[in-house]
Amino acid sequence: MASYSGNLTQLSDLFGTADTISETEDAEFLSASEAVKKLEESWLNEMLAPELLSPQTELVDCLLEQTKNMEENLMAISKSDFRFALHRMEVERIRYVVTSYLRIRLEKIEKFLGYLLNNENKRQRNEPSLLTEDELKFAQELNSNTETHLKTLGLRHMPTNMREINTQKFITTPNRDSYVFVCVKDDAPSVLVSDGTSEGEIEVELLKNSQHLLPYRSISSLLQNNTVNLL
Amino acid sequence: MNPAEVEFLAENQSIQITPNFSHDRLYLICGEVGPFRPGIPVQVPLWMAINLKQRQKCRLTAPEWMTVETLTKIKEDEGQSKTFTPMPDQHYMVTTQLILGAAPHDIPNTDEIRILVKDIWDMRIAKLRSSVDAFLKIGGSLAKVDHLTLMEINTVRPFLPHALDQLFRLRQVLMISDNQLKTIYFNSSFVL
Repeated sequence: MASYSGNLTQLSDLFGTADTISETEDAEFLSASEAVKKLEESWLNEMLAPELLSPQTELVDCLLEQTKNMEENLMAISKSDFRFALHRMEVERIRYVVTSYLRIRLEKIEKFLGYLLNNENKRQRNEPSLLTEDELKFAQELNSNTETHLKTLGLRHMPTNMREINTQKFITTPNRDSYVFVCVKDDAPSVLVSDGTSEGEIEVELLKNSQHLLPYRSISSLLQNNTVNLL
Repeated sequence: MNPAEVEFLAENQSIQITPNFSHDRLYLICGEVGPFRPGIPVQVPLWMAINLKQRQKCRLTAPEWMTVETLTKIKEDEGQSKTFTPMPDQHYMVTTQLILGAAPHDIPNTDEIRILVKDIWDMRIAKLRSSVDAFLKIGGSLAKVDHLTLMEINTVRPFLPHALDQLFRLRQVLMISDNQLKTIYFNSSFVL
């Protein structure tokens, strides 16, 4: 996992408060501006991917911290100060990306609830989860609330032999074959693309900076390791 | 994705302004901007440029490509080429709208620029539509879409990907015994 050290040393010049954000695990530092760019990328990918992607918890935390600090600093200066409006606007732009990103994830969790919870139960201990702690809590609560709701509203009025409900029967699974636009960041030789038939597999080379329209399944691993971005 | 989100992304681009005020460097989360000195050009993000312009604190400088000559050349190339030509800016349409909307008096030949950009856009959208039509008729299953800008892609979304999803499902059901995917070149922008 990457961690991020903020631009806070520079902020300290301005406002006289500085501290550094989370320490390294693999010594990869990202400045706050890089963190913003990365989150914008993740935001677009999450928006355009048919399934839930791995969470960018650290990026989100880093930027929330940054915006919070900036807001605290803004309290100290007058509203009519020239800087105020500009900093304020920037904070709001970043916050917009963060909330939109989290909201898109919640929408997906609502949609693929059963599917994600099943995967979560099957998950090996060393595999990373697709859900953050809070998201998992949200998913579990949503699941039990829906069930209780169905039971109290309808099922208890049913004849006794019809009161059973099997939530496994109405699970929405993401369509990993759905078509997406991708922009290639690094050459990816020999990507297998299927057209839906058993024999119809074709090998294509994705060159850097080229753009393609193809089924998500063929590039999902490339998206995970950051070789392509969704458009 | 909706047009407002594309616009939001376009606003992150950097643009040159000439401030009419003096201020020290600003330390934004996204990086440093400034210092601002009257009459000295400085690079700022587009969203900031528009805000400053609205407060009448600067003049905007058009990006290099935003001239009648360059755009005429691009329009000619686009007309002659069967494929999509590379655009000078990934958000050429939005950027033009934003800049001309915020600062019509800072940019020379606004009307001509507006018309040229609209012409280029229309030409490309027409090309895109005929490509999509040919692509679907021929039953292709993947396409190369080089040089299409985000806003242009957005005009065929969600229709095109959804249509392809349905075709994919139909093929899965039918399991058409085509041994190989046909290699399809059409408009050579959509290359299978």
